[in-house]
Amino acid sequence: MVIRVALVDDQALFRSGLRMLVASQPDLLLVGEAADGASSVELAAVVHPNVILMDVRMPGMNGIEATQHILAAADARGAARPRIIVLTTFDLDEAAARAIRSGASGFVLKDAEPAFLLSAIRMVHSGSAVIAPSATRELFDHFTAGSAKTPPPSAFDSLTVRERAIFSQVARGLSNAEIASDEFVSEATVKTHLSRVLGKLGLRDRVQLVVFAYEHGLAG
Amino acid sequence: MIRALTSRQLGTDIGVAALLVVVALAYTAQSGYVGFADAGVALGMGVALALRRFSPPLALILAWLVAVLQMLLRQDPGLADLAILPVLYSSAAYGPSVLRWLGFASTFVGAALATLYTVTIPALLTYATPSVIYQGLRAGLNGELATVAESTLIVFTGAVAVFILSWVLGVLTRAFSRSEASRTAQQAAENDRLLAEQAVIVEQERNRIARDMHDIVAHSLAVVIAQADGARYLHASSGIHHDQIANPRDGHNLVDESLSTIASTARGALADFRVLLGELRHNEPSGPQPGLGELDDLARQFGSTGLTVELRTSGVSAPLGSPRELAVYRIVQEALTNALRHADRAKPVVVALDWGREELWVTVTSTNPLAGVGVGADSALATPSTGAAPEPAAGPGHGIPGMIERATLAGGVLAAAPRGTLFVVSAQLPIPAATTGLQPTPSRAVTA
Repeated sequence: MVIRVALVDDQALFRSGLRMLVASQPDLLLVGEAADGASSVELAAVVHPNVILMDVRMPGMNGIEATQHILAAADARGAARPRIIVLTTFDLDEAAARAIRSGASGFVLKDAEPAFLLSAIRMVHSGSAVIAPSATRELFDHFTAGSAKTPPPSAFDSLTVRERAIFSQVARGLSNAEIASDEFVSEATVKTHLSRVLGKLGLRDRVQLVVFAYEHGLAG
Repeated sequence: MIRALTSRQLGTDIGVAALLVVVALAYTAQSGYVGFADAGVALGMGVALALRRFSPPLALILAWLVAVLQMLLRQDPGLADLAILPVLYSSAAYGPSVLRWLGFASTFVGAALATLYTVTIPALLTYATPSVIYQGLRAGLNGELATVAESTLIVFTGAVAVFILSWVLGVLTRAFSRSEASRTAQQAAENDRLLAEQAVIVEQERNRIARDMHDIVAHSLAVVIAQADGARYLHASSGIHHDQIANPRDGHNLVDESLSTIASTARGALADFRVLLGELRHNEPSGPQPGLGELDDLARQFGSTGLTVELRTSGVSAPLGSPRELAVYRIVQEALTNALRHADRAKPVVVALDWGREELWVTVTSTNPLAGVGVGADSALATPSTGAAPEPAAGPGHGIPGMIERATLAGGVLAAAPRGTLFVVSAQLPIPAATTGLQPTPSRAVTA
C-alpha cells in the first residue's frame, strides 16, 4: 500500500530536495506541497495525505497552528487523521514540543539522515513505534522540567495490569515488536492492548502517550 | 580608631602641631624661664593636635589628660591650650557619634573646669577667704563673693562659647562632607547603571546577531542537505536524471560521492553551529534574512512613518556576502530608527552606499537633535543634559553600541557623531576579495 505524503515548507529548494527523496521510494507518493501553514490546511483537505512533513517555523501561519487546524478539520469531516511529522532545525525546539502537544506524531531534524526520515514516515504511518523515542523524551524532559507534574487522571486507574505494562513500555519508546517479545504475546495482541489504552486515556497515538506519561510523571 | 590619611594630610597636621609647640615655648621663654612642666604641657598639646585627624578619640583623651595634668601642676593656661579647639572640632567632624557627644560634653565640663581653675578658685583663695565669706554672709551682703560669682559666670560663658563654636563647626563640616559623599555615591551608582545598561544592549545585540547568523547558515545548509540527499536517493533508485542533478554526464558513483560529501560537510557545519548557539533562546519566527536588496523597502517603510529617506549609491557594487549585507541592513535600520526618534522629520535623511575597491562606505546623515536648531517635536531632547539620564530608551546614543557591534563583527568599523547641525553615522565594511564566480562560503562568512 502506498503512503500518501505531503510537504509543507516555506523554502522551495528544501521542498524540491525532499521531493526527490520521497520520489525515490516506491512505497511513497508525493501528493502535494504547500509553502505556508494556511495553504497546507487547504491542501490536506483536498489531497488527503497519510503523512504530512511540516516545517515548524514559517511566515504567516506556523507549523503548530497548521497542525491544529489540519487535525481539527479531519475530525470535523469524520475522515482519518493524517499523521504529522514536524521538521525543525533545532534539536531542542520548544516549537516542536508544542506541535507534538498539538497532535503532531513526532519531530525530525532537517539534517537527519534520509534513511531516518524515510523510516520515520513509515513508522508514523503504521503507528508501530515512536520516532526517535529518546530524542522525543529529551525534548519533553527539557520543556517540562520545572513545571509541576499533574497527577494522572482517574482514567489511568481503569487500566488493567497488562495494559499498564504496555503503557509503560510504549512510554519508554519500545516498538510493538519489542513489546511483543518482552511480554510473550503476538504483535497483534500488543496492538489490541495499545488501542484500548489509547482509547481509555483519550490519546491519539503513541507519541501522545509519551507526552501524557511525561506530563503526569509516569515516564521512567 | 585610626583613620586612613594621605601622607600630605599627616604631614600638614604634624607641621602645624610642631609650629604650635615652638611658638608656645618661645612665648613662655619670652616671659621668663621654661620649666619641665611648661615643656611637657606644650609637647602634650602638640601631640594631641597632631593626632586630631589621625585618631580623633586619642587626640581628645590626650588633650584631657594634658589639661588635667596642667591644672594639677598648677600651670597657667598658655598658647598651647589653643590645640583644644581643633581637637574638639575633629571629635565632631571625624569621630563616631559617641565621640561626637563626648566632645559636646567636653565643651561644658572643660569650660567649667577651666573657669574654676583660672578664675573662681584663685579669686576665692585671694579675696574671698572663708572668714571673709562668713563675715559677709552674716552681714547679709558680700561684695567680694558677688564679684567672684559674676566673673565666674562671664568667663564660663565665654569659654563655652569658644569651645562649642569649634564643636559646631566640626558638626557642620561632617554634614557637608556626608551629603557630598552621598552625591558622589549617587553619581557612581548612576554611572554603574548606565554601564550595565550598555552591557545589556551589547549582549542583546550579540544574541540577535548570533541568531541571524544561525538562520543564514541553517537555512542554506538544510537546503544543501535536502538537495544532495534527494538527488542521491533518486539517482540511485531509478537512474532518472532529474534536472536538479548538476551534470548528467558525470558517472553515477561520482555524483553519489560528491553529493554525500556535500551533505556530510553541511551537516557537520550545522552541528558546530548548534553547539555554538546551544544556550541561545530561539523563540522568534524566522523569515528570510534582509540584505542590500531590501534597503529600498526599508526606506519605503520609514517613508510611510513621515521620515523622508533618500537612498544614494555610487561606485560599482560587488558581492558582499549575506552576513555583511545583513550588517549593512541592520546598521541602516538602526540609524533610521534613531533619526525617526530624534531628528527633524521635515529634512530628508540621506543613506549613501559608496562602493570602493576593497570597502563599502555606508553613511547615514540626519539632522542633529542636539544642535538645538529646528528640532521641533523632539525639543525635549534638545538639551544635552537630558540626553541620557531620564529615559535611556529614548537617548540618542541608544542604538550606537549595537551598530558598532554589528560593524565590528562584519570586519568593519563604525563611527556615529554629530557634525555641526547634522548627525552622521558612518560605517566602513570590507568587501571580500573576488572569488571565481562563487559566493563566499558560509564558514568564511562566520569568521569574518
